[in-house]
Amino acid sequence: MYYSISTLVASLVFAVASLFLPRPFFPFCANSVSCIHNLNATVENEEVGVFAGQQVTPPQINLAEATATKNVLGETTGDGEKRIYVDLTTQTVYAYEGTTEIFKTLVATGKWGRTPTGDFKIWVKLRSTRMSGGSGADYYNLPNVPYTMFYYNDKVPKSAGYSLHGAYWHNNFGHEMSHGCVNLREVDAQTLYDWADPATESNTTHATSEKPGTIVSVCNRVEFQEGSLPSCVIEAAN
Amino acid sequence: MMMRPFPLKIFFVVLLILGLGLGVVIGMSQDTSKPSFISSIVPSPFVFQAPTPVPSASPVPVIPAPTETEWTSPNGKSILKMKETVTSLATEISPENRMYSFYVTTSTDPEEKLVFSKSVNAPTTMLIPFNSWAPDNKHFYVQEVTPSAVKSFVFNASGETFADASPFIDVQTVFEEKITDYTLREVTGWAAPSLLIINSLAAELQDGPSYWLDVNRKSLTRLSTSFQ
Repeated sequence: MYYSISTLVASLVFAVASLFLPRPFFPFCANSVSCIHNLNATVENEEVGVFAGQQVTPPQINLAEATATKNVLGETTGDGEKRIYVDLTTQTVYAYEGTTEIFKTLVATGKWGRTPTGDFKIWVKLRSTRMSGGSGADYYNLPNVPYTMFYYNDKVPKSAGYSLHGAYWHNNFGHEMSHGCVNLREVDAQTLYDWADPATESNTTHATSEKPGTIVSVCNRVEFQEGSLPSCVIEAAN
Repeated sequence: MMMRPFPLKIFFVVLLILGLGLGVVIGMSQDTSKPSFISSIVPSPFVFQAPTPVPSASPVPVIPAPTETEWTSPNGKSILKMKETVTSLATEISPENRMYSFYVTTSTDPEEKLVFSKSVNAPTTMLIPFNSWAPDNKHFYVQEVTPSAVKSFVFNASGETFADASPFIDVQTVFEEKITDYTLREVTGWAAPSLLIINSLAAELQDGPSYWLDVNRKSLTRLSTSFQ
């Protein structure tokens, strides 16, 4: 009895205190339940997902399919450092090689959880993983999240679990619709996944010092100038 | 006194001269303004020629070729294709008319399946929005853009009718039947496989609540979360 009451009080204190924490530290994980606890690609083709109170059928994934690097976008471009820009205002992602834009599409970023801004690096790519979090009507539990690229920086640790990934449970891109991650159409997520570094070697690919991950710049606005890299505008409130 | 007979030779000579003279007179009396066949085929700088025809100031209208727009489903296995054909050009009394036809192909059935066709007058157009496909690839919606509204129509990707035998769902009509306090502002996309997101407008253009339209039940759910 005493344990239950003390647990309840502690939970209340934590809940109230969390309201006063600086926003960059809240939530602690993009996916509050699953966070990151499995760094291997996982496929659960028999499972049914839950999102927005609805059952959703995940895509059937066969990990035995070839996973060799495709570099679809890189084949025709060549030079320059790869970089991904996410514009939170226009809900758009851009892929650059040097100063050349080679891919652009709409995304869905944080609605129920904020998408942190800044420059990040991809540290692991998973062909498929499970993500879960939220509570009540907001609860979600999604197996087979495809083409997931987790990124981090010195303020947002790897354990926070922010990523770019395919989203098969909604199609509302161009509008905020995630719990903090950057959602893409599955076909667009695959395009970026096949192109971004580290080059895909298996269904789980870690970045190393020899094979670093592509930089992901998440910006409040992305501004463009002919012949030069886009500039990432981050507002002071972040 | 006896007359000497008229020599026959002289008679023939006179006859010949008369015949030649008559021929000359007839020849000179013919209309020389008509060119002969030979002169008509021999080019001559002195022969009057009509000026070369030049294009008129208003060219003959040409109906543009049909155009096609394709949009792949989220899983990359189905394609929605829109064919746009100008069926008649604008005249002084009628606007331009276009026919829009929507087809679906799948990776297992590459033959185009006609799902919907509609003819509209300019300036109305039709389009496939970015979020057209339902997340499960089983439905899609297309939009008709008029100067005053954007109307959305939902279809089964299979081309089959809905449970009430209707070939499509007119989102505007369903919304107006069930919601009277607000007007439909926009359809943004899909929240889930069968839930279409609708944003509404309150009086004096204030933001109204967001709704989900369940396309299987044709029911609307008012949301506490705004998707504006």
